[in-house]
Amino acid sequence: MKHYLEVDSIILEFDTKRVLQDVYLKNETGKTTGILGRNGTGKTCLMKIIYGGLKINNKSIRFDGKPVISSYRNPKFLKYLPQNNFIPQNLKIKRIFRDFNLNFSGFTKYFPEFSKYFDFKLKNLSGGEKRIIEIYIILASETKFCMLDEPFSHIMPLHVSTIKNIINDEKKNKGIIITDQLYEHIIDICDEIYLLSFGKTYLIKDKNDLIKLGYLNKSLLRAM
Amino acid sequence: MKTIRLIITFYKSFAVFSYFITFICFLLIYEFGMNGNFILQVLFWFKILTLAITIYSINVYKRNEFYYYKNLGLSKRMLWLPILIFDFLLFLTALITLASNLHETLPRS
Repeated sequence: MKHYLEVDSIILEFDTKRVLQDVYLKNETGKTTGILGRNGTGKTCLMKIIYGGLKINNKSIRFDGKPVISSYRNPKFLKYLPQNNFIPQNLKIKRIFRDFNLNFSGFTKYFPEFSKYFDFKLKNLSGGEKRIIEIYIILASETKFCMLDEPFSHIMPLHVSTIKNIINDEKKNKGIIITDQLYEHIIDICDEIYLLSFGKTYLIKDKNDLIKLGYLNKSLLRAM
Repeated sequence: MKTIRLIITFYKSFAVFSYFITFICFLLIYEFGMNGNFILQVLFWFKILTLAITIYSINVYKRNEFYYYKNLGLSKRMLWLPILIFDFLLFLTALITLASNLHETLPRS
């Protein structure tokens, strides 16, 4: 069964600066939607608004056409990977997987080198390894939508490729919204891409749109 | 059961500090308990103040960890409310027990 997540009519202001004003975003089961944008254009704020972590008056968020008013998000409907590490450092890896009802063997199929960490505390892992665990538990646990904020930062290229495989496997059962400055990966895995510029979202049809809207220059595009 | 486990995990991150404050309160009442209600009132408000400081500090320094609990269905309010009720009731129960014991052992004037 397909589920839909739609966002529009968002107005976000900090003092006199309007950060978001004309946003439209749609995601559905089976699709990966990317959000690109320069630093400070409000990508993270947009995700926090959708997740209910940033409360504003002017917004319209709809799950399957039904408006969401409260800031509470049922994790069976929406999960969120924030930009920074979010798992309490003292927890053991096995406890984290138990909390999210996930099988550790499913994880080690993708990352066999992690099998030795089952009984480790999270604080004993490197920054990149922690991030991989965070990404996996959000992507693989039961939910209808998940949002990933900068998932590829601090991850080595080989593991980025594995994470892209997980995203492609998991999107069969859920909708995924993703933002990252490593735009090549976003272009590679996303079915739809929105560019956030001057508070507005633009649906990107091809790579030339990214140049027209000032996100890339021509030399970067030639290199792709 | 999972909810209780998560709340305990969150509580553990500052429980030692909270118990330390409660212990300090007991020392003070043991030392100055003969001053009667005044010391009880002071310690009551001292505990309230330290709880407020704890809430503020945890909300600032562990703000990212709240996403862990939220992704598991527990909002900030659902975490804080049972912990604060338990912590304060524990403090009050121990305070009243100690104060009444001291009152019984003090020589009557």
